[in-house]
Amino acid sequence: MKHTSLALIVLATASCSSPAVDTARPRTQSSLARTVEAATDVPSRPVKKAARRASKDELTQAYTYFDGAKRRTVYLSPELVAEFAPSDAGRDAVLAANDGYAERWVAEPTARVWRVGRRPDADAFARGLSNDTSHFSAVLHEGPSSELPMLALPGGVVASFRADWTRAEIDRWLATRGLAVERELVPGSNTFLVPTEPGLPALELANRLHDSGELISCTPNWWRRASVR
Amino acid sequence: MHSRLFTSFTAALLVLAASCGGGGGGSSASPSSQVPSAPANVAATLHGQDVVLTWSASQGAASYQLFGSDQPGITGTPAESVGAVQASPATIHGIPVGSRVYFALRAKNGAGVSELSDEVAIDVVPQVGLDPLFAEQWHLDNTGQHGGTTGEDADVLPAWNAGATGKHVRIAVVDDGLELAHADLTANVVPAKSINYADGSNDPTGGAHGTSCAGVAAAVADNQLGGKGVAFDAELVGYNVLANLTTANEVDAMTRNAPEIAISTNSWGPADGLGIPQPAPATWQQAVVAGLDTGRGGKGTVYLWAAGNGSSVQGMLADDSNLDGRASFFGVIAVGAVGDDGKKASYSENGANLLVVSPSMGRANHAITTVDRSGAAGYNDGKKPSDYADADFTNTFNGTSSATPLVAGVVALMLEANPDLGWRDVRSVLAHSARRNDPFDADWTQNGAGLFVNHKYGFGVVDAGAAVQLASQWTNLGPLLVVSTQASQPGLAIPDNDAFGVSDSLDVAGSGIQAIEFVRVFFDADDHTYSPDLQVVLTSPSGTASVLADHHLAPHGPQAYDDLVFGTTRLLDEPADGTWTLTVRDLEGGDVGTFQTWGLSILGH
Repeated sequence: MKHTSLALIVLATASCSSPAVDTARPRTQSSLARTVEAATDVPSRPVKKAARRASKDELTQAYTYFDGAKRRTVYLSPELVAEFAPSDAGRDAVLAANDGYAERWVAEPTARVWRVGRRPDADAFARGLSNDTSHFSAVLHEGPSSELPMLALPGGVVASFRADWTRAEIDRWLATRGLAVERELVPGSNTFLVPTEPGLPALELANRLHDSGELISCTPNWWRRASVR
Repeated sequence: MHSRLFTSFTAALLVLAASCGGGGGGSSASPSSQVPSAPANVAATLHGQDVVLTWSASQGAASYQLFGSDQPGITGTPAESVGAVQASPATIHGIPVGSRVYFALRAKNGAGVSELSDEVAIDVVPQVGLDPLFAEQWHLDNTGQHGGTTGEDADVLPAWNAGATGKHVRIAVVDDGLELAHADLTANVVPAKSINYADGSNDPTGGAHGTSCAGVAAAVADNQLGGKGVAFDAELVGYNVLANLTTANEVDAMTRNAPEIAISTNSWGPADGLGIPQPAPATWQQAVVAGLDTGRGGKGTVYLWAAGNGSSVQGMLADDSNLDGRASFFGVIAVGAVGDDGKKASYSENGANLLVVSPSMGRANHAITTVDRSGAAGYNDGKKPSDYADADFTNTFNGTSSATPLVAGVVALMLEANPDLGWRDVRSVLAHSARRNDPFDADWTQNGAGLFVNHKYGFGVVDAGAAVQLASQWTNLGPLLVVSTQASQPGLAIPDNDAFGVSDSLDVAGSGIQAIEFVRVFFDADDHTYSPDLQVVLTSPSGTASVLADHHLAPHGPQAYDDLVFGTTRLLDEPADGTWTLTVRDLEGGDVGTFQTWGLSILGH
């Protein structure tokens, strides 16, 4: 069987090490201002053995979610947390919870990613930082390496209901589960954003709703980074 | 007096092209013993600074002799000869701007030469308007400025001279922002229709990248500021989804005000250069399909997508555009990039999913001239020697980011010329009108429908003049047919480091598809321990090969080819019925796996 039906696959427990002692100096990642340099070299065939290198921080805590009908696997970062609606209070919370040290890894208008040192409980740690202004999530990667694209969970799931369900039926179905529609995403498609708390609870709820078999699909409302080209 | 004909530019006059059809009566005419009649209905029109002559065919003519002069009263002397063509039309290049010129022609066959036709006159007037940086915009009119190759551009002048400027066509720039109040954009910005996903307002001002993209597509013309956009009268809205890229916002950005959105231009995607498959989220696919169904009043929003800049990492082949699930989706048009010499931009990714390419990569300090964030907020910070004095404009924009809004602008010109084009028609018109650039590149091949196609270039460089002309006379494609095969499960072990590989075939019969528009290929080899070793090639019943994935570098490690979906445009207009073959080769030693399953979904009519 190619895919497990388990939502959470803990392959191994990440070791607990001392928090990284980093300065508060931000790492510059100005991908949005990037331009592409002209080069004249014609790409040659790769030499895998030269390029292939063992990741120095293989990620081990795997989670799955549904992307439509396809189950995909993501990996928890033990040392990054994402802050949504960044604020001074959020920064202070990170520093206070991490012995006064944190490195701002990503700074975007609506999200920051902080490197806080390896933690076995990165998601719980992240959610414990949330306050009235900022919300925190664990950071995950699209593969078992921290150098692969990152994702985080600002809260919410995207739920697609069958076309023959009325809006009233959808509202009732959600209400019985303590949920409600925030907004319709594609007009007329019965696809809605349903709010949840940030972090892994959003992923777990998306999986529960998908596994109910009553929806066409349900996926977490991921936050991603993209590149301009 | 006629000895002075064209004294200043005789040598520059060249007959560039003449079609073999349309006018008829040319080389295909049967031999005649009668001298043909003089050509009638001679007309001259201006396309940029070229003059296009057209005429009605003369019965029995085998060819036509063209004569020109800067004086009226052509008599057909050798000194007035411009050249010979076999049929109408003929394009005459190199006439100095500001000239009034006169033309006449004779029909010819084995029996003799006709009388001269009536003479026509035309003024070659300046077409460039009042934009001080237009002369720097080699992507619009490459005159060889800064060392580029004359003519290696998007050929916009003929489209403009035909009256297409993008009026009433709305372009959504989906990016990091759009400076609504920029002096060279604001006249084209639609008030209160943009969105800022960071704060929910209607003002996405803040992103230099999106602002520059908007300028390429639709900067205002003839306002004594900067240069021109391709579709300088088009309407602009900005959706800054990159400021808050969530699943929900991405869906919104693809469908927001879809009935009003003609074109969605997207110069972004997953990180380039990783060499790993990055599938498109199902929610995004659903949103794009909704836009195809409901956008532009039901004719479909046209989605343009940057093919990606990750062609080369550490000097080795890395990303193929087909690994980006958005750029390879059937509902988008993937755009690659070429330089001012008409050859592949070093960064532009190969891909069977590419439809066209467009000019992007200039010489050092002379990339694409476009709008920049006002003042020092953008790319022009005044610190580079080559920076324009006016900091509201830049000459450093490039990448497939720049290539994509250029094509968006061309599509706007097409949709103004023919608003009835459906999204599928736009794709077909772009492919059929593209110019075959870099003609000696070894990858060019003719597909089963006779169209030249190339993994680096798709069907070639976008040609605005040809696209507008073709769009204006286009008959929409018939209803879309979609035929999906059963999944084949060959379960074949892929021999390690073996150039022969393994193959599996599927037969398609009775599909009803006479002309393919796009093919989706579902592929799984997820137990292979190093997927970048694999080359995956689809061969159509007509024998056209599409390289869907190639042996490449994944600098941060591989990701399995797990239920991937590739796309190919290369089979345009081929029939679908027959035997399809997928070949999988492992081209580097040390890892093995299994060619597990594959299948096809063929779109066409």
